[in-house]
Amino acid sequence: MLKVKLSKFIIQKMTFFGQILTILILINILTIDLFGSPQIIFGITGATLENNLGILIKWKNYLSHASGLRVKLKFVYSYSELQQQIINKKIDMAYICGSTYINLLRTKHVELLAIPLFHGKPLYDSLVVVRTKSKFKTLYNLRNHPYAYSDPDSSSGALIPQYELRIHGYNPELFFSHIIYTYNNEESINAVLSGYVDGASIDSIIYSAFIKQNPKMAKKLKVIEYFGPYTISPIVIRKTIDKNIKKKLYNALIIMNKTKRGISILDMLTIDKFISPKDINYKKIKKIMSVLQDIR
Amino acid sequence: MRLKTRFFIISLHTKITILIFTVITLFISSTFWIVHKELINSDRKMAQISVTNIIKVNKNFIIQALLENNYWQIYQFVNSLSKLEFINSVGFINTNGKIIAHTNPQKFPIGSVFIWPKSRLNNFFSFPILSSNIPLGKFVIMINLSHIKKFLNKLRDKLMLFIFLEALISFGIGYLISSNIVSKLKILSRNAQRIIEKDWEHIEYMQTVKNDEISKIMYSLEYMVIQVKEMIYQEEQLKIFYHTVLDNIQGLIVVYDSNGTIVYHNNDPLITCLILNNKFVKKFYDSFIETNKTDNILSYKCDGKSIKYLLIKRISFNEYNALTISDVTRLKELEERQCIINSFELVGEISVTLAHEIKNFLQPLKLILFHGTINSKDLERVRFIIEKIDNYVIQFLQTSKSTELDLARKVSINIYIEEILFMLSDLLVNKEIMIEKSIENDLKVFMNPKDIRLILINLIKNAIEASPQNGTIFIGWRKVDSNEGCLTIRDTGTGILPRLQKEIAKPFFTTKKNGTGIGLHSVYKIVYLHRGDIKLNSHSNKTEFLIYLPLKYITRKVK
Repeated sequence: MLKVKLSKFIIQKMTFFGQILTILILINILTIDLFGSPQIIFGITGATLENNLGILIKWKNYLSHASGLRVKLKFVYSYSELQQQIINKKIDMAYICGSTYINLLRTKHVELLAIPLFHGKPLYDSLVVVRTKSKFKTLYNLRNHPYAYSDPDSSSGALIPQYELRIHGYNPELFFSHIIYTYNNEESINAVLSGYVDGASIDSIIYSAFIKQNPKMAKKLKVIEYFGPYTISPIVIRKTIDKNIKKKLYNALIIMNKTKRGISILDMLTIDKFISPKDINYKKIKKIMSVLQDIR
Repeated sequence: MRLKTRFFIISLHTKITILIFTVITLFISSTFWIVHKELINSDRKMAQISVTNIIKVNKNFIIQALLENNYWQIYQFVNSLSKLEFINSVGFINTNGKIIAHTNPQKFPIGSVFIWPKSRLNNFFSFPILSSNIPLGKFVIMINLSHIKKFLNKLRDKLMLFIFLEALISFGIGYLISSNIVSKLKILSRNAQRIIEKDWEHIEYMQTVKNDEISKIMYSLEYMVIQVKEMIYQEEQLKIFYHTVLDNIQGLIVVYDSNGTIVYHNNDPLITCLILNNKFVKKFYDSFIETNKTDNILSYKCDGKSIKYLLIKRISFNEYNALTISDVTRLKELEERQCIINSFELVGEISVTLAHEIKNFLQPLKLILFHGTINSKDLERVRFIIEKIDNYVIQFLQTSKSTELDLARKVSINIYIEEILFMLSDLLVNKEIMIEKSIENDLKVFMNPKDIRLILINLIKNAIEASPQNGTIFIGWRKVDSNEGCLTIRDTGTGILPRLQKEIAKPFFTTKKNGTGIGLHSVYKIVYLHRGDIKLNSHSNKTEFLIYLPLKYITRKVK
């Protein structure tokens, strides 16, 4: 009788503890799922890719899937703001221009994550684009004409043409009749097409993508200057981000050209693939920045 | 045909339809016309208001862009504004009048001075941008008025189409409304006709309950129809009843109109000799209808052989006349036989009376003559008795004389009344009797004056004799109708006992001690021979004789 009672008691207790344990395990799993994959904020400006929202979302989803992380896009108006948000850790990784990378490098906030290849090289140009029917043949023909830059901190969109003017003895601030900042490469193209400005500085990758998507526009525009090549805009990541996360993101980017999904995204971005940032430097851009800074 | 007449010939249905159609169409057309005119005149204002509101909504954004010198955003705004169809071009100029951005950079490049175009100045307007009352520049907008006009013209065309559709719809509505009204009026009209024709079975009744004016009229009419139908049914039942009663009455009842056409008769056998082809037989028509008599006893040869006596009474009502014709031939025969019987009886009575009186006188005479010796006194008595007998016989003979009707003429009765009163004045004075008179002086009686005197003297004398001391005798003479007048002699005496009232007309009947019994008999004889009548009203303190005398010529001599 006593034995029976004891065994019943034990079974009851075990059942009870078993239930508690199950609940705890489930909670842990759930919490892991709820807070689960770490979130990565991916910063983008209009100077890079804002107009291609569809492509960006596909890219973001790909990164999330490939890395197993929760990647979230964040659009920022200007490079300076993007820079500030990286410093403030509100953005974890970003697709920036070389000059912004140089600025962030000084403060040691970021490191290179991956480098895109454009036409097989990690290089791109800063183009000067005018209307086909216009009389302009060089940048210098645009003197006293209205001109559009993208972002004031953009290498291809502002600093490189300013540098070119500077080294040819012109004051970039007084060369043109009016300077407007569109903060968006495609908007700069539209400004030229509409006639609001007579010329604009455009990132060659963006220009290539634009022409691909709008082949009829190619007839209305012409490139009169190719300044470069310069080291291409990198993808950077905050130094303080976990190594594993960095590795996952890096791997996701690197293998993009090996997956069907990744290939289609790369094609839309007009990028061949991403490579390791090893052996990449931005000396030329750094030089430009220092020249322009000295003069200022 | 006059226009006014033509208008009234058009049906109510059409009138109502046209009226509703015209009112609605006129109203909508005039509204459209006013609105369209206002819009046409306000095109510039409309465009200005629209653009101004868009700029106001985006004012903060514009101010920020201006403060940040973000000309591209200004250009983007201006560009998007120019997408409005009624805007030709938009630009923004700074406080120095220089262009910051313009949708036509070829004509208005950035940095150039904006010059207001001289032509089409009406199409331009500006909208300043102020921040804390500090001007930052202004938008210069060129409106495409032709676009607005084009839009308004399209609107006008659509509205015209709408008006056309509305006209059709209003016509339809008018038609439906008028159909509804007219259908009810038609029902009213049909029902009225059916009432006239008494076609109760086909009266149309309202099936649905509605509260409009025509429906109320229809309900009232339906109620009236039911009541009228009931009344007519009752009247027809009554008519059938009356006809049944009339059909069962003995005697012919005929109703005819002013043309003499028979409208009703009760099929009495008399129609065979009085009515032919729904009209009176000419002989009867001429003898009675034509003369327009109200009543008469007519002797009529029905089949040309036998005479019928017809009692005819006429009643007139509007243009109709009704005759009741009773065959009184048998009654007449009975009356005549009764008259004969009465005359036999009367003769018997008179003979008995006379014989009795003579016997009364003969009795003492017999005693005297068969007594033996006759002296001078007896001779005196015999002479007296013979005179008395002679007197009776003479009076008897006198009563048997017929009256001289040929000497009748129209005379004033008042003269004879005065004459008789004068004659009897002593008797009046002795008894201090008052005479009251009510005489229609202009009313003349048609009689022999001798007969008038006889009537008056007998009646007035009897009245004086019956009246008490200080009594009153009333004498009246008045018109009864166009044919007769009434002479009234009334006293305040003790009256005549009812059992004696039947006897007073008989000859030799008297209640007076020295009376002859001939006076009243003579009065009755004269009156009846003149086809008059005597009525006697006698009570304990009054005796009244009403003598009905002719005012006109008597048509038939009485035998």
